Amino acid sequence: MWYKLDVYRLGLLLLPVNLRKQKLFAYIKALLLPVNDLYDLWANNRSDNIYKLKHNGQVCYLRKSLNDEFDTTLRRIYIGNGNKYTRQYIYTRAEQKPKFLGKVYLRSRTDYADTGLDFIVYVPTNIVDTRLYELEAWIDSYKEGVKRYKIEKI
Amino acid sequence: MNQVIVLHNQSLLDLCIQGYGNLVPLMDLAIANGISITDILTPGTVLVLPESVNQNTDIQKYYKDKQLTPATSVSDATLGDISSPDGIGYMIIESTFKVA
Repeated sequence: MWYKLDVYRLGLLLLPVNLRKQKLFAYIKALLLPVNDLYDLWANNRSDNIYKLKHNGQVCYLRKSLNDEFDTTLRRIYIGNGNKYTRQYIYTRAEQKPKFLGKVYLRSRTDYADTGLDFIVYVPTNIVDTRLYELEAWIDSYKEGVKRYKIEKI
Repeated sequence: MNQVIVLHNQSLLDLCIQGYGNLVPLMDLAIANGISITDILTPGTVLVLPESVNQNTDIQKYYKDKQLTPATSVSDATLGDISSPDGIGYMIIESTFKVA
């Protein structure tokens, strides 16, 4: 496409044919290096933006983009649903509805259906330890605004 | 809208000189054909020359009257040859470094 550019080739094409020699071209290349760097920056930015637009907060895309960014080769990161435990309601004496509690587990606020999380991102421990903030920023930029999540080490 | 057939070893810059007499409409030419200004063109391809206000009729006419078609493209091989490093450590005796 028209936005693609080979800066060095352009430099050579603009040289008269009889001047296209090694030493002069090396000099031209030195002069064109900043232009080429600038073009590379732009081209990388372009492909990054396209990548970003091609992915969204859907589980499959989020998982793919996280793996692409943080665990390129082993691709161990995956996304699970949040836990949706229901709360055990204990009646007051006045309500006169006895209930046998049986076995009761203590759970975190985040594990219940009403106050809990929408999804859990399972990430290998070493990635969480080294790149936690990057990881959070990455998920925050993709997830939908109302969704709650936590990162769990595996 | 005019059309032009690419000849062997012609670059888009050559075609621009040939069609307009200067390089100002180069970008328009690239956009109209959906190619990059530094692409290697295949001979025989038909490219469109969009209308442009930037025409140097003198030079255009000169090329037309003398039937000149500039063809100064560089192939990847030539580009590689020219950009290969030169000097001590790269020169090969009897090939690029001649002992008199």
